[in-house]
Amino acid sequence: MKIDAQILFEALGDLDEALLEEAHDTDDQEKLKLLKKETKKIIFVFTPYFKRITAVCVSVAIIIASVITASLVDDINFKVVNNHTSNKTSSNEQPSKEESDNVFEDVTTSENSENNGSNASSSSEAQSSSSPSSNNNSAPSSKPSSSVTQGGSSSSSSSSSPSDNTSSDEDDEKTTIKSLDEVNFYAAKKILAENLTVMSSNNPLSTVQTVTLDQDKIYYYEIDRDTKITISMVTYFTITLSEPNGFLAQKLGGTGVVEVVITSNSLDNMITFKRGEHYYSCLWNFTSYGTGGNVFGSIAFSTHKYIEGFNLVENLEQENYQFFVYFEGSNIARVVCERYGQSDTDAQYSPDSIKVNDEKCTIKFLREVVTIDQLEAFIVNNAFKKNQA
Amino acid sequence: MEDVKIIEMLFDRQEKVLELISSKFKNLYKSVIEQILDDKQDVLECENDVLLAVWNSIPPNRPNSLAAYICKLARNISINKYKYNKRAKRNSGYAVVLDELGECIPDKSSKNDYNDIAEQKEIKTILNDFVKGLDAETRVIFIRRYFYLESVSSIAKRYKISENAAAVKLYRARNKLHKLLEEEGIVI
Repeated sequence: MKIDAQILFEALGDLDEALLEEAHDTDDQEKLKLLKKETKKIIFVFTPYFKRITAVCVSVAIIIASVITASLVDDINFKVVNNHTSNKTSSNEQPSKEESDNVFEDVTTSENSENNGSNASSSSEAQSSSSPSSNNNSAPSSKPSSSVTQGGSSSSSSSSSPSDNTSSDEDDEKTTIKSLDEVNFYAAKKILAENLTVMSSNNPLSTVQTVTLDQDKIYYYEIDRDTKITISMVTYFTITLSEPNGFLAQKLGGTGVVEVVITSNSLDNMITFKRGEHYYSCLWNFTSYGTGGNVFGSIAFSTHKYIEGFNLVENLEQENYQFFVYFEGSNIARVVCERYGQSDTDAQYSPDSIKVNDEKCTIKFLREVVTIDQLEAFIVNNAFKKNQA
Repeated sequence: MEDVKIIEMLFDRQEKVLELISSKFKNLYKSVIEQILDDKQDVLECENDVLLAVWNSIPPNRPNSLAAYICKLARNISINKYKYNKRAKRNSGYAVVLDELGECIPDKSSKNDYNDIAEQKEIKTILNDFVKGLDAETRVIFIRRYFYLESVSSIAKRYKISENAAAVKLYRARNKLHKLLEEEGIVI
């Protein structure tokens, strides 16, 4: 092929818009520094030849990591349980807070106490399902017993109940954010709790960002404590799962009430499900706009793209479920789980049976920047306020 | 005004949107045009052509980045005008850019000429992959230099690096591109 400089120059005019936008938007030194930080990523491009081998290795590594993590979590929970038990005498006299004032209300714990039939994968989950009103309760995520009727407690993601008498080391364990699931969840809770200024919009879905992950690549984002994540849309609601073998139920350690947040942020559009100690997040697949009836539109999230620690992962080898969240104005009309690409006989899980609990949800559009440090401070501050009440 | 709202106005065919586009992006696309064309009348014509091209192409297009999209239009319109006028702008920014890019192309004989659509697509793919493979800083500087036609001194000032550092980064990027084009059998 023969070309000249003119042709090369013209061909450069056809660079991808995303590249041009990136260069245009990075118009000063600070933004360039931020870009360099954000794009420190390891991209593995899988050739067809190595794809299966690498998928097997990744799966084995995940299993080993899960086993190690589970044993570590058991150790941590044991310490927390003991500490929580020793502080029960002071906590019993605390008045219960109004449910609406407590952003760390775990609406799932007591209501799910009968729904932990299927593999409670961690001892903490089993403990939180046992009698929450007992002073000797070994439930690291339980509130003081006087407020149990509202549904138990959940504080931070590493979740023991916050207490005035805990040591600083145990405070660190309680409030340390360990995954992007927790970042997403507590960022949403913080924003909604602080009742920040809302950008008006007639179209609740108009500011949803679109991000495409390239096929066959796994992206590792280096998120550190200073990484600024910009949130542009946030919503919160709760659902009830009823299928024990459902994909989500299995990920979350059981059925029952689950808290849900959806955010549009600078990493991706994410949905995070939280049930007690368990989190599961998956990423945006597409947005559609309703054409008839009362349904305004929907956002679909795919389990092929999920969060693992601080990584956003695309793994086409696993079963694919999609969660369709249908909006109707400021309400969540319904949430539907569907399975793709696998027959019933081959599938390991079932599609989840989901009921939306709330008639209304709050959808906010804004531009709020959060960091992990801020979220952990928010968790600690709110726990502290709760204890003061 | 946000790009999304501007695009919505284009879809609604509200004519006042052209004023908004001009006030928001004029400096950007004018600087691109002025790097390619030296005649003021030609520059003015191209500015108007850019607005017309935006009006005619959105819808159906719905670009993710309006700034990048408008710059692409401005670039292509200016190049066409340049070819039409057959003017050489010596010692201009554009001529210097062409000289620099000329270094990227290996100097070997080849039987084929660049007039095949498949070959055009191939070089676009090669260039996209090449640019994506650059580290973030070099990528941004490379695109600002060879797409937005920003001068080396302006780039250095923008990112608070020395002119020499910016020039070296570009030089190394061009060398990489040279090697890549050589491997792909693309020659002058």
